[in-house]
Amino acid sequence: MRRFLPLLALALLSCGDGSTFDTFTIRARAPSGMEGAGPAIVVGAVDRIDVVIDPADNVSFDPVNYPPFEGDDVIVRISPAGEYVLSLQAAWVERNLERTDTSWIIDIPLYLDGVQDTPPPGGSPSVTVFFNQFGGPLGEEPIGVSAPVALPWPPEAGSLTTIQLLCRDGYETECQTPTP
Amino acid sequence: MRVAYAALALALTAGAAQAQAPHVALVPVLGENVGPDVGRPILEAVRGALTVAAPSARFQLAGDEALATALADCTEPACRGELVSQTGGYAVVLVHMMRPAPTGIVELRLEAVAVPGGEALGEPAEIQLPAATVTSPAAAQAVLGAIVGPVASALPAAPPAPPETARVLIAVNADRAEVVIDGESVGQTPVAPVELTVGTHTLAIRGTGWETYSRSIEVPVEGLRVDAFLDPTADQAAELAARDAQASDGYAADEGEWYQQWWVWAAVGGGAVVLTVLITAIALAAGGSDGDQEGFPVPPIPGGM
Repeated sequence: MRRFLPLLALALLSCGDGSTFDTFTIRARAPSGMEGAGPAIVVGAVDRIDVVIDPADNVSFDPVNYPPFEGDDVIVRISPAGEYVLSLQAAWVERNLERTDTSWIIDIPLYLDGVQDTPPPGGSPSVTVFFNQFGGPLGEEPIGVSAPVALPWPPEAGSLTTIQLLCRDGYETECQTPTP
Repeated sequence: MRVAYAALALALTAGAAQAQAPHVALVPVLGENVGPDVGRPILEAVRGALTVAAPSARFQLAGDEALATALADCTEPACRGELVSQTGGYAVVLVHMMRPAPTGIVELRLEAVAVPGGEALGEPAEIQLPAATVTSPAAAQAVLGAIVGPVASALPAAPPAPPETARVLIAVNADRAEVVIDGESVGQTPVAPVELTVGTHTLAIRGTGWETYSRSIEVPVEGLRVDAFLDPTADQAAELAARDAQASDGYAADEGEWYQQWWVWAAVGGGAVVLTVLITAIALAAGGSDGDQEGFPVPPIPGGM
């Protein structure tokens, strides 16, 4: 059957209106406790990952209404402040994580759903990743967070943006304690 | 209002440790009949008067009740030195306040103290503040202006400010690579953010199988993120390429070229029929959409105007 895959792909590509989406990837990387890498964040301590894209200069994303993806494991929404928020539940994280010797990695595939025909007025947006844990005094709170990173826009097909997550100061215990 | 996301992220990066500028600590020592409600405006007035008298110094209120109580009970330089060193100031002015009666005048004594020795600097200045000035820092400052000169001139010159530092985050595409800043190793990737002085530094990253990454970085006061992409060495690149080739071409083994097999063309014919039916069904089911797409959608960013 593998011999037919190229033919099948060719046939599928030749159909439809020819519009395809090019995927770009945001890679969230969390330390797993190696010396010099900062406090570890264990996978079981993360109940949800939020990827937040913030257009610069007070520009807002237009409201969207995407259905949930992969069951209810992935939710896309626009925050009241106009930020794009992609929420990945723990089940999705478990299915997609990859471990290295010093960290664990989640690759989050994204694609631009439409045409960016004018440059963003505020320049490149920034992307920030949050690791949230449920059950704290506030109900839920970020235990791991990245610095905001400029995201080249429109995103280049096949590009990979690596985001380093760190355990927040004062949350070392939460970062290393799996939630029930 | 941007939600807490942005604020939190900024707190992480922009919370760079700003070195504290040298300052003279003003420590209240509250005596009889003087509570914080009376002490606070007087302390503000003392700071205002001292700032006028010693414009090159920076005066900062410091101390808590426990420190004030301890200082009130200790007069020996050794004991005082230990206490005033806790304030963080390069010198300390003790502001003693007491009131003979619950209302009325406040007896004020200003005492400059050396850090860390605790010995007195010059002579203390004393004054009785009229009751009318107690609730008015401006009025009290005017009165204090007449006596703070000797205290201000007894203070030592401020030491040079320590260099400002900022937080630097280094993200590298290779794990277990050694990160070296200004010739000193700060650990293996992934590394936690490091505090560096504002200015120019050298950064080198070395890892087995990767070309050494080396560059100069300019650290601004608001901090810096460095995305370092290491190139694989020739050996590593060849190994990666061989691995990719092995993964993708594993099935083109020993049966001759695939298009020379008769059953390929038979399958193509049959497959075309099946595909036509399949694609038509998918198109109808999806209402002419683009079908499944790997990944999650991000809408375009609206233009300006």
